[in-house]
Amino acid sequence: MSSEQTLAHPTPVPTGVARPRPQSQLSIVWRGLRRDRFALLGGAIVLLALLCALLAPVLAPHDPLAQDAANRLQPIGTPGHVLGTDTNGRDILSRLIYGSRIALLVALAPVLFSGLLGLALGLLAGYYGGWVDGLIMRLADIMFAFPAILLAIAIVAALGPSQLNAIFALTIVFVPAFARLVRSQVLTLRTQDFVIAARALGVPTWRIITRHILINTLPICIVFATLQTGQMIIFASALSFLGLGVQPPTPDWGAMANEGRNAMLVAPWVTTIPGLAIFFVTMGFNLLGDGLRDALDPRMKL
Amino acid sequence: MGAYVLRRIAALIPVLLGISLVAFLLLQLVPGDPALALLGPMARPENLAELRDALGLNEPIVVQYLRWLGRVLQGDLGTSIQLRTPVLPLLLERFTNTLILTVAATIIATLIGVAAGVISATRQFSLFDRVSMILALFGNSMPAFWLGLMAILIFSLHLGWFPAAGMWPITGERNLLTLLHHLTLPALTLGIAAAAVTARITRSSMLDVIRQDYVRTARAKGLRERTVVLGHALQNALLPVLTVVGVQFGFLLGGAVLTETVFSWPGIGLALYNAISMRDFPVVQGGVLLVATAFVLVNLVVDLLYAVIDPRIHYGD
Repeated sequence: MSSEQTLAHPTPVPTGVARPRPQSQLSIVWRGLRRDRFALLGGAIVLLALLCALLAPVLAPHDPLAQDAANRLQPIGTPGHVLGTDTNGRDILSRLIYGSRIALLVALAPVLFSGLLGLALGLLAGYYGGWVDGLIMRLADIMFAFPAILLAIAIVAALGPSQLNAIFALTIVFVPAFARLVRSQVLTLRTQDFVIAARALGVPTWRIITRHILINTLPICIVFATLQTGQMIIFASALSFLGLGVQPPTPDWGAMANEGRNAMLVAPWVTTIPGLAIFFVTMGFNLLGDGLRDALDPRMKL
Repeated sequence: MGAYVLRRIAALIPVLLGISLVAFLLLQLVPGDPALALLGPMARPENLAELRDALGLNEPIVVQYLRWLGRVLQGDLGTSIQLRTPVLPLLLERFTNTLILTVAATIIATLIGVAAGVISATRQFSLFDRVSMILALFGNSMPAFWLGLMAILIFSLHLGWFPAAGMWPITGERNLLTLLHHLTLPALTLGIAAAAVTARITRSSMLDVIRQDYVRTARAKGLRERTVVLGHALQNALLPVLTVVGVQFGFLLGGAVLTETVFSWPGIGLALYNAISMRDFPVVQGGVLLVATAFVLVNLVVDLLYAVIDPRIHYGD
């Protein structure tokens, strides 16, 4: 018997013989991730950033807000200031470490909120169809007509620059993408046999949505959210760079890059270092997201 | 085809109305009294009352929107609080500069992205493929404003090859050459992230096409590899790329706000940035409306091009 035939007509397992344990999706994903060196690197970067954020008070050698006029613009490698000091004599390493808190908060919060909202709207639109779908998708079309960063800038400009408003604006801007993704998944899932069977058996709608459809849209949502987090870090830092996000003197990578602009010729590290931090953490999320996608389904179009 | 074009244009109307509604509502988001926000806390009560009247703030919001929309349709986007001039001519002049920057960045992104994507796909897993995909990852992870600052640091401040700011030399001749000299760094900065996305999409689209039967047939009948890749595969792989280029154009229009701020490029992005810091809301509102409209129109053109290029698509005729 050829292997193809074996696959097509598996020999019935005799009772009493132990079946191989069914593998959970999580273990399959983990096995895929473990083999992907780039994904592991991404995961390590993300973990490092998370640890920095959690342990900032322990790790930071100085108070990130403490100014020292006598030690302004000290170069990298200065004793006591490994990454130098900024235009106000503040320790760049400490600001960088504390900045990871802001970077992750302003990136993860909008991803979470827009993800939840998008999930709810996408489920509604995809499952119920009709006018509900029409209304939600037309609203999404309108939102898509704006370049995302421009809409975020405009919303924060109107509401007033602050960390909370930046989170709000980024949430609003990213909802349509999530909603559209979930809707397309739901449209495919609702015609699958297991959903039709559940409906035929009289399973209540809410249970079909939560137990059969929602659970199957989650993997692609997690991949998308991971990739979005990378982009969100860039967006959030861009808002701060323009003075629309986190306000000084709070240590924020985008704002730090902006503060160093005027001293770029004499002290390029003040701008370079926070930019590198944004770059690495974004890359970490991108690598992790790519790895998750490949581990879940390499043909996934994201 | 004609019916499709008409239908596609008709479908645009609700989207454009939606854009206008969002732009209108932006001003309503301003906390407190818009007139006070526009004129500042030092404003005199009579000036506030006058502005409230001029803006129609005493009317119901639906009436306000319809009046505002009526004015917009006649080309009146209001008056800049800061400059005391009509918003539309001010923004249109700036918009041309933004278009120069965005088109240049789109050309750079498409040339680099398509070339890298095609070579990567035809030599999958080669050194070139690996390096270009790593570079694409870098490009996708780099904040454009920071890349711009680094470009200024290296190529302007240290090497002195390109100017750090502006569109024209402060003194001296204004010609194509001086424009290109000023355009190089901002266009590259803006284009690189887009090139990264285009490269990744071209590569995956090309890989899909290369495995198709007709490509294998073309090879089997002895056509040169060059003809197979450029004549058979690329032509079909370019369809998804075209959509991406359209979307990228909008992304670049948005990204221009940052690039223009970094390079002091006198476009709509810089105008918006200045207007935001001066709380000149009519300019912000007008700018957002103009950019979104341009984005929608570009996507319409891309959709129509799609119908022209792809012989498989027949739109409801």
